[in-house]
Amino acid sequence: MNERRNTRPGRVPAPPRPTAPRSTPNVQAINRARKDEHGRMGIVLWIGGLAFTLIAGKLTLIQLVQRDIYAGQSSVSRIRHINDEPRRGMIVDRNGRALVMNVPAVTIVFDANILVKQTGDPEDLLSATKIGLEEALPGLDLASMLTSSNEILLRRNNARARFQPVELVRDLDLANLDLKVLRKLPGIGIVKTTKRSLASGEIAASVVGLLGRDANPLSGMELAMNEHLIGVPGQRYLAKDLDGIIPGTEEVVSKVKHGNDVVLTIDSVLQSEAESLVQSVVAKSHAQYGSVVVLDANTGDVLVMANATGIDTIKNAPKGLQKLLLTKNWAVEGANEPGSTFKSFTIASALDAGVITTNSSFLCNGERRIGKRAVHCAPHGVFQHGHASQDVSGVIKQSCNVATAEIASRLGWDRLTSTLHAVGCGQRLEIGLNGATRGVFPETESKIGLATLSFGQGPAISPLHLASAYGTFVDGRFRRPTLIHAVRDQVSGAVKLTKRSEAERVFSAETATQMRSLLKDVIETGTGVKAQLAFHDAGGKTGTAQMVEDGRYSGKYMASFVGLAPIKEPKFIVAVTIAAPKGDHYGGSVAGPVFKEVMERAMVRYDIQPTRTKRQLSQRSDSAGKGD
Amino acid sequence: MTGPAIITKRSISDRVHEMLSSWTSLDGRFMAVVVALVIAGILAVTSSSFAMALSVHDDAWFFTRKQLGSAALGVVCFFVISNIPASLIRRFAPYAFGLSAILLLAVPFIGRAALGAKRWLFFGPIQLQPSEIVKFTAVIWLAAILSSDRRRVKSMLQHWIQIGVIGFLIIMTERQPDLGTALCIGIGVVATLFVANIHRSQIIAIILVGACGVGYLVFAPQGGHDYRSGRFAAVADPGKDRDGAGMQNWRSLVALANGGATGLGLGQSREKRRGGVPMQRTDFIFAVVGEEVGLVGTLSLLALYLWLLMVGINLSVRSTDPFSRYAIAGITSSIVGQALLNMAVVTSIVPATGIPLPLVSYGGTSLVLTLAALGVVAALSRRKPARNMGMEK
Repeated sequence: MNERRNTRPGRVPAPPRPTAPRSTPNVQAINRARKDEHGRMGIVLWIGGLAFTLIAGKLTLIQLVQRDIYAGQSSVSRIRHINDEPRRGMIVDRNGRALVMNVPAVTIVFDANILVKQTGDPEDLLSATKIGLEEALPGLDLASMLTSSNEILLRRNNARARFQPVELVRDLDLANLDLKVLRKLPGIGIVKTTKRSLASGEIAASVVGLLGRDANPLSGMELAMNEHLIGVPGQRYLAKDLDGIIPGTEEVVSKVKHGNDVVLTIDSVLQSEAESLVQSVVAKSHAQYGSVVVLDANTGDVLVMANATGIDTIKNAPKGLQKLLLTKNWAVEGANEPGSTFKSFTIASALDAGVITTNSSFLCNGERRIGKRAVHCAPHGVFQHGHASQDVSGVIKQSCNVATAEIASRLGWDRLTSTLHAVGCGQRLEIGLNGATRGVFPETESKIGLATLSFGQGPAISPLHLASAYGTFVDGRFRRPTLIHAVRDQVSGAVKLTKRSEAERVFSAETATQMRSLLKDVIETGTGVKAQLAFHDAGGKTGTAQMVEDGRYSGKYMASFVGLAPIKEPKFIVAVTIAAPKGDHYGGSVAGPVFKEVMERAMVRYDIQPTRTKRQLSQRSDSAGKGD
Repeated sequence: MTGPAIITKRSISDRVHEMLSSWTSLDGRFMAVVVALVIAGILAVTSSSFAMALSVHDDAWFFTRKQLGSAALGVVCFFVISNIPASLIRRFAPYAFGLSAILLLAVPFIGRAALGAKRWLFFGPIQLQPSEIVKFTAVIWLAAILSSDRRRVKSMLQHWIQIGVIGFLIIMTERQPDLGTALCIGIGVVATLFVANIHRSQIIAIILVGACGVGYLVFAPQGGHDYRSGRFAAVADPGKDRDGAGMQNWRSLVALANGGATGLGLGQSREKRRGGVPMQRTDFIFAVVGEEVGLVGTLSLLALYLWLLMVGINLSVRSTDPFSRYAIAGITSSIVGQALLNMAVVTSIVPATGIPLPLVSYGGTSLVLTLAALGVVAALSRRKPARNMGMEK
């Protein structure tokens, strides 16, 4: 067997052991050769071992000893610090309808540095950009804002300084915009932003206010509630590579806290209707401005705060102020003499104090002398020489200054002023808006001062003051108006209601009932007949006051009407103020119809049972609505 | 010899038994180290490639699947070749070498260039790097030549034509340019010459010539190959040009250092992602291994190759036939030498040369050919000739 194997072709004979008896010189030589070879193989092992030791040593050095030199110096996972911008809260109406929200927008930037780097004639590149911009955004004339080709050429030769990128259009609406085309234009960059956008129709713009550049609040709720709306930015660290975020590397330092929504008491449907009404009246009468305030009679919630600024007012204002003027909230910022609407408080106060009764009778001959001075009743209609003899209802119906001054003199300074203070006059009504006016309130007591105060000359109040003060006639208690219903968490929806102050008693409930009856008479048969509602009994008071400009009475008038409906159980208080209407300037005829319209719409919207059937409007005469 | 008659009479069960026994006639330690390296390789390829596979091919297992296929083909080659008798291998050695040499010489004419080098031949879907084949066929052919020289101390001058041809092929490989593979062929050839007891002075001379050649290639200013001297500078100070010439070195050092003593855990390498270690599943897979399993892992892998060398030399020493001795030592040295060179590159001991880590790096040609070469080692180191197993029974 062994023999056979050895003779097979190509098979090397197995070397016998050195001590084998059959050893020959040839075999010895082979064995010596193998011994040499074994030595060589040992050397190979040694060399290999040395190389292994070297590599093992270097590995130990890198991975253990000098680890800190290299570890973490990754060029893959560049750690990024991310600032999570919070979403600004929305401003919504009482039914959750957004009045202002965030919409995606773009800012278009021109960076001349890109053109410096690009090859090709700057002139050609620039004209491509110009044509592209003109096509995408016609009529904006952005070409003039681009850098000239000469400057680019200069910079190509001396590329040290850099151009400042130019913002061409800021916060542009995404609609009708082909970003792909714009992006391809030489030097044009697109930055995604969000834009604050009012709900369609720009409802309650004057309440919401303006948000300027870089989310800088300028006016209205945006300014007053900025702290709630703005939220808190979050901070994150994460590792990113060319494929994006590396999973599991995110480390949140602080979570982003999105801004809270502000829920207003505004009813945007009614607000929208009131806005268009007041806007049309202001436009038609070329008034300076106008405002409508609607309050919920039982809670003091501001349901409507509509403002309109006349076109002439804006035209005459300095350019920088025009935008702010356009959204000026006259209802809380505009203070003016209330005029005759104040008479209600004099009479109510006197009734409550018992110095008069509803049956008391007063004589008016058109003038009442107080020391060296006198107060007058403006002659109107059939009353060319005073209002003659009249009861309390007559005084308020015909808006008699003389009789009101008489009542005030019986009441006295202290009782009148304390009543007026109690209904909010001369103090800032805190409804969460920054510009709310205190108004003006006479501080020094005088006989003539008492007389003029009694019919609303001397003090100044805002339309909101007027509306909330008339709220006292609902049940004799004064309710401070509320505009911010709640602050709502944008994410969880958790609502934190605004704390409302308790209603404060000013008059007895009986006095309030008497007053409502008197105010009803004004609308039924007095100066306010143009404010009659079709299906509901309402009560109200007209006011026509001379406006004060630069400290003196001007020839302009403030027409106002304030009232409640339904008169038995009032649901709403509406105050309408139209400043400086041209032509007809009486409260009853200018503001009265607006009151009627707004009140009727409120009745329909809130489905208030009619309190009367439609009938012929009573006591229409030439003089109707002309009294102050 | 009554072979044919006996063979036809063998039953199927005999054949199965024969095959099973033929496995057991393979060296256990050798089989263990080869299996360990192949498994380590598949793990490393999976771990180092899935992020990239997901990003590029949308399939995390893309490269793993291909590597598993190559490994399967390689294992089949291994067992088929391990059953070929040593005599047959020796007889076919010149033809195998001749064929691979022709392929190599054909590369400049019909090869395809990639990454600035012309190294590959394409036969339909099959992609071949002839220099990889020459690496092993040259060693086996040289072993066959030298084993026929029965003198105790051999002289290269006796075989100058053959050695000259091999030298020429090494230069051709370098010209592709592929200094790394050229060096690997050189290592295998020199190791074979060395263990075959070529005269000491001739060994020293050939090593000197090789060193001068490499030195000239690295330092001599020449157009087209300037990246080599840059790579040398990068090894001297890898942190100097992190995004330029030193990028490969720097990033693999960062990866290794990230691993520390015990590593970030399997699959946790950060540097394997895009923008990190370049060629993370091929030439620089060792850096990813280092990041994921730390110093423990790198030293273990290093130990596996050292074990392969020791087992190989042991098999060579135990072999009775000079051809088997030289071929086993040569093939083992070539594979382990390539592994050492690759690790030396990754650890910034020597400049980047662009060679894969044998059995571990992703790449079908390399894996199949290395397993085939190890199949030759298995065939040459069988304790008993396979054919005789059945007959002895």
